[in-house]
This record gives sequence, structure tokens and C-alpha cells, in this order.
Amino acid sequence: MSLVQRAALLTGVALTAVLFTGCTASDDLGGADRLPGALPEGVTFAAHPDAPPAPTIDAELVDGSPVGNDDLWGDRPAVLQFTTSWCSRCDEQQPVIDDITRDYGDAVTVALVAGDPADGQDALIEHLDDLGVTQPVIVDPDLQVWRSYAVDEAPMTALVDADGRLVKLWPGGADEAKLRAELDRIVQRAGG
Amino acid sequence: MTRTPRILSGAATVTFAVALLAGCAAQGGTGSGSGSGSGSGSGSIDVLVRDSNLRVEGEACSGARPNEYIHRGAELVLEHGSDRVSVELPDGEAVRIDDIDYGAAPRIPTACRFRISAPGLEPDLDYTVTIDGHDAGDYRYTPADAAPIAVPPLADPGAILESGDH
Repeated sequence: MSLVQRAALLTGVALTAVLFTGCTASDDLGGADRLPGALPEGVTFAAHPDAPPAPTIDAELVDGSPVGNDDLWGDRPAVLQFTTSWCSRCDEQQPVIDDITRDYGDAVTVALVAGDPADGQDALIEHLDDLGVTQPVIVDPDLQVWRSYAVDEAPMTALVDADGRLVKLWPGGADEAKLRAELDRIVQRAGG
Repeated sequence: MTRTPRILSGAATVTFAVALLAGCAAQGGTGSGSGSGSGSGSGSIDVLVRDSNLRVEGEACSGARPNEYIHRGAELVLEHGSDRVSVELPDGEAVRIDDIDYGAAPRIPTACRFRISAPGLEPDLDYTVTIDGHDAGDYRYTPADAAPIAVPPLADPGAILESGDH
């Protein structure tokens, strides 16, 4: 086989590989790589000692990684957005969740909790990919986490402080201004 | 390797790539519901999830616990003998279930109503109904009053007060 022929064959294989990759969602979509990084310096958190403890989470992310309380809060507050792939109002609220994720960065964990059933995981991943979701996504096919947070219908937003106390629940999803107001009461930046 | 097989090999690679691309396009597509019955009826009917969940009236909704399986994209099937009508549910709409004045409360007790077109339904036949594979009782389509398919079923469809427009 000549050099030109080998190059043509390799090009064909590479093109096939690129197309095949394009069929699948990004490897780190909603997985452990999307959990926040190191806590930013100079950030402290106000406590809500009178709030009840947040229900324990012992679940998996969409990539199969285990996820629990310590991954979500304990050193920072967390926003949990309960969602499903068929929930139109969840899609409408996703830009709010994206803005909160961007603006608060690693100071706050923002995670989705998807209540799609076990046989709907492919549709969920496709939907998350279509939405361009950047947050970690907890899969909850048996609605264990949903039940513990009293979610009757998506969307619903929960705010947990850095001590693991359930500060607020917003059935129907949080209004952006109210969510920011609560977060700004909790997240305190040095010099800010 | 002769020249012809090499050409065929290259063509096969390109064909495979195109097939994968086509597969991507198909994967990204969305299905749509349609009636598949052979009857003559073509009116719209409602699926009414009587969950009394607190919602903002008029907002998009899906069934609340324990009816989470009733949502946009779920398949509603009505069967009578060999007749089968299948419809994909659209978004539901929150409709109030009573005439109580809740003042300024934005979220009030509601049912979630899915309005669907069900071509092929024959009047005055008893259909068995399933939604996403869950039994949803029997339904008799009568064009004159077009009672909703209620979940849970109504004891007396003639006495319905909570379907919004009916």
C-alpha cells in the first residue's frame, strides 16, 4: 500500500471516528467532572442554624459516579434543581440555573436531580446534551431523592446551606431574584 | 489488493460514515403522536389528571405524584377489539378544580389537563385506556359531551365539575 493510499485510508477512518463521536453526548456530561473545584479564597458562608437538616443524598451521577452529601455541601452551599427530560418549564428555567452556576462559580454547588425512569436514561442524556447542561446531574430513577425532598412535580428548587441545612424549597422552581437574594445572604466574599 | 477492492474499501468507509451521520440525524429527531384507528371520529378530548396539585393556573404541567408517568411524550392508547388509537401526550395545562377564592396566592389547587386530538374514535364504543402502559380504566367517547378521560376515574362522568371547559 502506497503512502497516499495509507493516508486516504487513515483519513476515512478518522472521519468515521469523528462522526461516531458526534453521535454521543460528551463524556463528562453531568458527571463527576462537573462537580465544583476548590473553594475560592476569601469566601465564607452565613449559617441558618434554625433550618432543618437537608435529607441525605446517596445516589449516582449520570456517569455512574457515586454522589452524596459530602460531594454537594459541607464546605459550600448547594442548589438542587429537580427536573425531568419532558418538563417544559424546567427547560425554561435552565438559563436561570446556568446563570447562577456561572455567577457563583465554585462557591456554590449547583446540581440537577433528574427523575426520569430507568428506561428513559438515553432520552435524558440526549435531552441534557441538547440543552447544553454544564452542571452535575444526579439520576433518581426510583424517585428516592425526589420523595425525600417532597417533590410532587418538576421543576422544584432546593437551597441547602454550607452546614447541610435545608434553607428553602421552591415548588414550581425558584424565581431568579429570590434565589439570588437567598444566595447573597449566605455567600459572603472578603471585601464584598 | 487490486485497484477495484481498494476503491470499494474506500467507498465502504465513506458509506459507513454517512450511515453514522444519518443515524445521528435520526437520533436527534423527535417523535410525534398520531391516531391510528380506523374509525370516523375526530374530535378533541381531554385527559384530566385529578391530582389537586398546587400550580399556577394555565402553566404547563405533568402529572404529580403518584401520576408522574403522565407527561408530555407519554403514549395514550385506546383499544376496542382490534381498533387501536395511539396518541402522544402534549404538555398539560394546569386548570383550577374549584371556585374558591384563594386571594393573592399564585399557586392554587389544580388538575393537569392534556387536550388531545384523537382521530379514529368511534362514538359510543367502550375503549380500554392505558397511559404509558398503566391501566387508566375504560372510556366511552360521546361527541355530544366529550367527557374527559379522568385519572383517577370519575364515579359519575356526568357530574364533573373540574375539567375547565366541560
